[in-house]
Amino acid sequence: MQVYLPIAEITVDALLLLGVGFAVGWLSGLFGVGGGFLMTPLLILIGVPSAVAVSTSATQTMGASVSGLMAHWRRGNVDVRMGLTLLLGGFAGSALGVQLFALVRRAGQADFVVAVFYIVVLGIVGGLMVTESARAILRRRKAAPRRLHQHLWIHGLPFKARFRASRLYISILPPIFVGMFVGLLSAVMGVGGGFLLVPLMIYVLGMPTSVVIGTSLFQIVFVTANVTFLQSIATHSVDIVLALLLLAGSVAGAQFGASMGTRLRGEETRGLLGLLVVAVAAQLLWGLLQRPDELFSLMHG
Amino acid sequence: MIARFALPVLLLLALPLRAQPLVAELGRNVVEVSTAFAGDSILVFGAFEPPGDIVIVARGDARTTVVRQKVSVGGIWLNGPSARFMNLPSFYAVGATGPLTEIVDPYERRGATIGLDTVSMLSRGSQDPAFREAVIRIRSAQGLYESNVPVQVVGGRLFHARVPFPSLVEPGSYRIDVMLVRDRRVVARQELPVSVRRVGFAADVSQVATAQPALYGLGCIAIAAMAGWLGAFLFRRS
Repeated sequence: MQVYLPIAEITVDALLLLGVGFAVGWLSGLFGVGGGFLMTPLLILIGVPSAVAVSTSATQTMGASVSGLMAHWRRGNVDVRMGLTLLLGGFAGSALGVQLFALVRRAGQADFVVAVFYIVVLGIVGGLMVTESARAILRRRKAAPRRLHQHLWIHGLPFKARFRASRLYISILPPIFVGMFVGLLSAVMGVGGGFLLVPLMIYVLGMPTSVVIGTSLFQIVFVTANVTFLQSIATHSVDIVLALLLLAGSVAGAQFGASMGTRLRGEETRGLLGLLVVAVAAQLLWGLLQRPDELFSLMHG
Repeated sequence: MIARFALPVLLLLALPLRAQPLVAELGRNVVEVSTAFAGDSILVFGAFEPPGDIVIVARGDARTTVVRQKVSVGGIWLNGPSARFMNLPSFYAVGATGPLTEIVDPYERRGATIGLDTVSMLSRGSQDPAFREAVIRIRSAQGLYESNVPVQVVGGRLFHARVPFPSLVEPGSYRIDVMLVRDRRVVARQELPVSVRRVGFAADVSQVATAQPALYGLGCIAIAAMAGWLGAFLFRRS
């Protein structure tokens, strides 16, 4: 069934979009991430203009994260105070990111900048995840006693606050910077940033794993909502028809993924997610290095 | 399909052809872009006083279009030189009952922009002919530039053709010119306007998105959140 996307101004097979949504939703349910980092490149591959792909996948990530957030909220796995602190930085970061995106778009380098962001961020994050989980799997048998959290330089920063749900007493500066960094990437890459936020919360902020997913979803919902709003105004590139088709698929896919995810161990899940992230980065890098079939592109000026 | 233009053609037969050497009409003068739009075509039909050839030119609004060329910089392909084309038609389709270069005089062709090679290609920036070639190649591949619309003649004086509008066609005002050519000169011409417009939901969405971007953004957030909430609700049930 062909459907015309009013903002992207292209006609696509609705079943293909539902399928893409389902596949990304399945993976996001399995790994507990939004899946925006897969969605944006897939949409560009289908032929959606990159600006529309970035903005709309932020919208779809928001919708998909609402489901997850509600489930975690019911179980009390959300540290609202931490979420709000992250959000403070997140709003600033995404506002900055939307401006940056509009700038590179005017310079005609949107595709390139988006690709480079993806390759660098996904390459680093994926690589770290793979090595970390491999080490954890190897270490498992030894069952070394793990400290509650390690004392790092960040614990010496001022403006300390108590985050009860996370059992932390740390400065509010690191969460604000983490939120800002992820918010910036969210606007430029059209991702929620869960794949980035989750490791940062665990390793940099030292939050317990139980509240990490719920709290990251809290931050993602609001940051992607902000990106949707800002992109609607700055670039008119949010396609609601596209977002809804993707959402319909991903909401269904997430159910299957989540039920399968419960059967996998944490280290293995992280390792698989890391491999997937590295694979996407490698694919995008290959796209930049390979001679394109068509060297020219047309754009309304 | 035959039935769709049989009746108008019969009506045309009854027209006093002596008065006008060319009479042309469109099956419809609107292309409606709805959410189910997957391309459309418009029937052009009419009658002419022989001898002569029929030339049909359809074109869309003139737009400024930027063409960028990817170049390899240190092994990485990125957008390099660009050319900015003024007044480039967003759509162009031409068809005739014979080979254009043979049936129409070259000056006449340029004056009336008959043929893809006569389309205005004034540009700023890089003047490399590769840019013009890229415009023709890409737009042709998208079905937006068409140089060979078949035009059929029935009974020596009736003609009909279908101008294809691909799914990528942009909303705007279009014009279909029907011309009668004798001795390599255009002796009669009829200009028929066509409007390509979004209708229904697609029209509402793009209208709100451009006219009320803040409202549209908030609406998108609300709709996506609702869809997500519905998903969570379904998930809880199963």
